[in-house]
Amino acid sequence: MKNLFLILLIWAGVTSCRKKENLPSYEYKVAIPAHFPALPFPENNPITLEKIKLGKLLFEDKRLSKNGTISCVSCHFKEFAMTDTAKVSQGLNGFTKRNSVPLFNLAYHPYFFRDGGAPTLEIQVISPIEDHIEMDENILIVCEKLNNDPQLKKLSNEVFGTDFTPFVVSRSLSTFIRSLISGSAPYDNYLEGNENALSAQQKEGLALFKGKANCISCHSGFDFTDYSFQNNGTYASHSDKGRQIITNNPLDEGKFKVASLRNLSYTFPYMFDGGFETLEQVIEHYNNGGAGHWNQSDLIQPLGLTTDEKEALLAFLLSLNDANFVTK
Amino acid sequence: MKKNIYIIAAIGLGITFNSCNKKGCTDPVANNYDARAKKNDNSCTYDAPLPTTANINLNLTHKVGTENFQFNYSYTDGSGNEYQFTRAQLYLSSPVYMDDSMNVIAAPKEYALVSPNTNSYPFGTVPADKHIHMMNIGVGVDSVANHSDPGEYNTGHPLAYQTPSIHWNWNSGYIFIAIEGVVDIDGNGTFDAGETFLFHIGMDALFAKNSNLMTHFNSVGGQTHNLSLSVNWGQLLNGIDLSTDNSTHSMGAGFALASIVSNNAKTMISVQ
Repeated sequence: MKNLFLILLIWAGVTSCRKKENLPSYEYKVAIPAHFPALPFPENNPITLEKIKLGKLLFEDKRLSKNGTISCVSCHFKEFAMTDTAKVSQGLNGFTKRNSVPLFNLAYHPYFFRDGGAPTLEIQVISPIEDHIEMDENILIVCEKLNNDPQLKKLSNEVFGTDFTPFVVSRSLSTFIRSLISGSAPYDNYLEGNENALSAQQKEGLALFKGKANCISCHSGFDFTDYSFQNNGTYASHSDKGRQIITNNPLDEGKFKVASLRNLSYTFPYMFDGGFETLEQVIEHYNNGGAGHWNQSDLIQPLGLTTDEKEALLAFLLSLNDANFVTK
Repeated sequence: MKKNIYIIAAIGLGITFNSCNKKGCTDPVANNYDARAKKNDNSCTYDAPLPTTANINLNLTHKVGTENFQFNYSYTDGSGNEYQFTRAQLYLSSPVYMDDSMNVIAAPKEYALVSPNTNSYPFGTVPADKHIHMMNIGVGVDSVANHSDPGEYNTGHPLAYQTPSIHWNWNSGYIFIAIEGVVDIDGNGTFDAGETFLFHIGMDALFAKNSNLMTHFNSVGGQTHNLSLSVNWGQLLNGIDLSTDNSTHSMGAGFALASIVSNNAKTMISVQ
């Protein structure tokens, strides 16, 4: 009996040691709605709770900028679904060229930035740091600064087994952003079987969204985007060449990645340059068939929506607001 | 007497058994081969294998035309504009070696981030016992590596993140050529504020191959072969009037000017 007790004691000791050793590397299951696909992540950057926590710390750390005055949070506020309310954002050396992108459900995106120039989140997250207009800091200097913080350096070693390197920074930030999932709007509740989650007007708006207004031709799927690049005719002409900057193909002029329609109440203003202040303006734009850019998508045609229909469509769009995401 | 016979017989048997089981190195090609050994005791020793590859080292001379390269030293472009370099970096990569019959000699991909501050760059290996008749070398980074993640490379690797940055995050690719400096645009003899030039050349289409560099050497296993090449930084600005065409990031409207620089890069490397 005494021997049995001793064996159990040793087994418990071994088990607890193993748990402690494995803690930083166990795969963390981000809570996602049942109607969302499984959360994808790169093979060499699995999601762990420790990485998410470290990434969040870095996301809020102003040492990522050259003069220590701005962090990622400066343009990506929780209450605005991880974007800001400016048309274009103020960086260290002026204003960005485009409207700040909201950060949710990016784990599912096949490429990043409005023009798709970054193929992975791991590469994308370094861009605002090194961009001369935004944070204007070299990533190697960022690592030096972070390694001068004993507590943070210790954390890096606990999570990655090494001091801060560009690998550590990019994997932490990307994992934190990958964990930001928004999918508990009234529409999601409706999809999960609660018929009363949408009002009659919102259901009418949903029918228009899929039918007469044909929004669904681009804003499809669980995240209301097909991730394609489209010229939606925001203006008859504009200097931002969009996707053409990446591909050098004139036929890509003015095309941008189709935006998600979730959380629109929090992510104003709208369009690639924040040129539209209200959702009513946006709906009117599409109802008019766009501004007639030479490369405007054929999908953008006059819709002939009545006032009631426009209101119903707006009501449906508001059902995609996820209050939990912006408050919790 | 009988007792002695037993002892001798026992010794004889012992010797017999011992010789049957003699341990040693049984491999005839080993240095310590023992012909009497019947059982290998893993004691064989061998000469170190002959190296199968030769090392390549780039020994670069940095020039601007016929002059030696110097930062903050005045040169004159083809349109008579005085200019000085303040930054000069480029990637050399993708060596292709050929023998006398122009057969390609397989060699690993290599990358060197080159600047005029340094003349010597390790550049991988070639197979031993080959005659290297000529080589091609790229200015830039091949399309596969160009879209890789710099964060994946260890510190010190040419494709890892650098200071100053040599990687675009907005379009996920390396800056193949980065030259920056000042230019006396108004010709008043001074470099006034704003009189600068900046050429950042990248994108897959602008990879520049320098072809048919006559190298002529026999690769010897284990040896390091110095390839003495001249890098003409001034060649990059051939045909460009720096008073009017002085800035490109390769994208959009800047692509045409970047294409001129890239085309110039195809003839900027020569064998010394």
